[in-house]
Amino acid sequence: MRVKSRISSVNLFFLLVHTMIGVGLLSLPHQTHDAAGSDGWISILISGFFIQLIVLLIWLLCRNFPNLTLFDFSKVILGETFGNVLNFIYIIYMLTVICYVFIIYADTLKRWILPETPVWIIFLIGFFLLIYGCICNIKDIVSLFSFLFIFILFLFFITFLVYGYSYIDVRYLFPIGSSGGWNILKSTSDSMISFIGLETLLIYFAFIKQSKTISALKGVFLAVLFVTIFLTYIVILSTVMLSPEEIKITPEPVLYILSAIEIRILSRLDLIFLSFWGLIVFTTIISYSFSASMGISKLIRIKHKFAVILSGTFVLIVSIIFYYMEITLLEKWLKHLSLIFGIIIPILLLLITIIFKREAASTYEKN
Amino acid sequence: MRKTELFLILSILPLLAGCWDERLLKNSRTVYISGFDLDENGDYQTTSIIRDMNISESSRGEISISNDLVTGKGGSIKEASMTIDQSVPGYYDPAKGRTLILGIDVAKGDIYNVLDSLYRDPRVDLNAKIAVTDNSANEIITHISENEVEKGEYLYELIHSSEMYSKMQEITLRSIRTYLFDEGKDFMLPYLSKDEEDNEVKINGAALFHDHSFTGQFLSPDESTLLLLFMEAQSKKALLTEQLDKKADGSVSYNVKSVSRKLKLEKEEKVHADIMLQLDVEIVDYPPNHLDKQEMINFLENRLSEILTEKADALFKKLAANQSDILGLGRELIAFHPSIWKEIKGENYYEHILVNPKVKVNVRSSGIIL
Repeated sequence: MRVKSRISSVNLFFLLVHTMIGVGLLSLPHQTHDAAGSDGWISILISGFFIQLIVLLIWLLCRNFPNLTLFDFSKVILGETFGNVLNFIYIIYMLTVICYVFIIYADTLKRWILPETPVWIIFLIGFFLLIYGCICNIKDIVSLFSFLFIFILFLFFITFLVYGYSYIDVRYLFPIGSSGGWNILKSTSDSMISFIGLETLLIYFAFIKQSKTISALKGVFLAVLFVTIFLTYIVILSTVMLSPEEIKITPEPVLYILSAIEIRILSRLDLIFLSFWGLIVFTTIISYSFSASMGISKLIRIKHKFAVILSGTFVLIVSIIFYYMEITLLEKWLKHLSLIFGIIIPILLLLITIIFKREAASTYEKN
Repeated sequence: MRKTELFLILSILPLLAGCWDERLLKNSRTVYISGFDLDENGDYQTTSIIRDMNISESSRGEISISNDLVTGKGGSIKEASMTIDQSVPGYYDPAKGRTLILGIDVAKGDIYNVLDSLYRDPRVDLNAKIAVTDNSANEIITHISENEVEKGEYLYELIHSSEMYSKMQEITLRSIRTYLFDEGKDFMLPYLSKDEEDNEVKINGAALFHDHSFTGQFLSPDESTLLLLFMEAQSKKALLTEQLDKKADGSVSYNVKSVSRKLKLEKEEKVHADIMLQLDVEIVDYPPNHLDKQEMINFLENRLSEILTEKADALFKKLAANQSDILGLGRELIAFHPSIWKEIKGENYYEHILVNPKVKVNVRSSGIIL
């Protein structure tokens, strides 16, 4: 089943940036600080570089199967049965990621702005928005995302306001490399999770025009570069604004910094930041659930619309259960899962493709 | 398709997300100013001025505002606020206080104990100013509530204007936390006292802190300005006056335009910190003489450099006696000389540091006359 719609390399840039920048943004400086101390920004840069390589590998894999998504070419590579099994666990993984994003999103909102609101209301709103955002084709998603890109830039510019204050102490970045080279390298596996969203490339590459040429990669490279720079900037900013011991006990350093900024009539900038951040988080959710629903509709042969409702319901129920049972396993698992699904499985698939010389042509005969 | 989408969007509306968290102004008692004391039993006492809005029914719903003084006691700051909450109609809302005052007993202990509950609430105004008093906070606030018209704003403006003139370090609730959790930096807070003669609350100087607690010593406003210059943290205006000689008319006032600091840290027996400070100043008041000759300017520059170096020496002796590392030399060592830091680190690292200040004054301008 070849996909029909086509998107350009620029569109892919927007898709990927929105999928990658999301819920991790607020707590990223806290997490990198736990792993690598004041050298967190170095580990972000290094993992950004690794991600570029992995993007290249994913492209090498996908170019063998033009206009086929992961859910189609997995069957070509692994055969009908194993392909379906792989598709199934990919769908479950993507839905789990959405649940994780949902829970973190609701939890952050509850702690920062809506302490009295019951969490199920936030989940329900998320559920409706998820369905609303996903019942459409990829072109609609691309136009939505390219419009919402303004808000990412807005998040970027809102942080400029902190320079009016004298709290900045560049010395917190020094001595560079104090945590030791090995520790920084080790911490890159932790900071990889902030680039989560890469897996969706396995699906989006199918939509691109002329996926065989290297120009298809341009948008993706730029997207990863943009995300790397953005995250590094956020980490550096938080490191110079807060003392090391302070970051350790501040789960959302970015919000904390912004809540102290006052510009004339506005005294809580974090609220503005949070409301735009909410939009950015929803683009992540939409992107993932669009991919997952596509898989579902292919797996059990139903219409895309029903698949979206199915995945939305699944996410709603699972995240409510996880939230109220206070299950925090997701976060721990996800770190490893994202490595497996984003990096290891694509590499394995690529190896099988090369060794056994699988090609898209073989599917045509079947269909 | 249109219909489903419309249905989806409309179904969000009845959830009314914001309405669960509405907080009506008429129900909450907003705090202007809060003070914290510690009594003999180890209980905290909170004193606040709250604003009360009365909508009178007789005169066409006119709003009149009155201020109330309330106090409450408790084992923690939160418990003390709960005690207050029980004694006022509506909700006692300490989040919007613009000024916090620490009584001397609180300040001499770990001040983070008082501040902790504030940081846990997202609605707290992190730009609130903090000050220390030489007596109990209760006394100061009672005085303000009886004698000042502006009440809560009074202290805020008092502290703010002394920050504008570089008399005080700019410290807010937000930045004090950074200092508290930094092993290599200390800070100073405005030191308030009640002047019995003038019946006024005044800023007496800058209270020196070491780690989390008040050392008991304070700097005069002039000393604190000089220290701010050494930190390169002065505001736009930094006015100083020096007595050039014993005669009555021998004084000069000047405004520091810009500062450049050279810092050299060396490890010998102790860690020697040589600080070379270059000040570009503008003479604003110098009645005895005119600056039309180069010799006069040279004389003034040399004399001022001499006086300031002497004062800086005394200042750093005072800091060393209190082990108050306001200059942040510890952080400097951590950042650029980690090997030295490893040898001296610990709670009292400052006793291993010997500061050797030197000031050089350059007269750059003298207003519109010479």
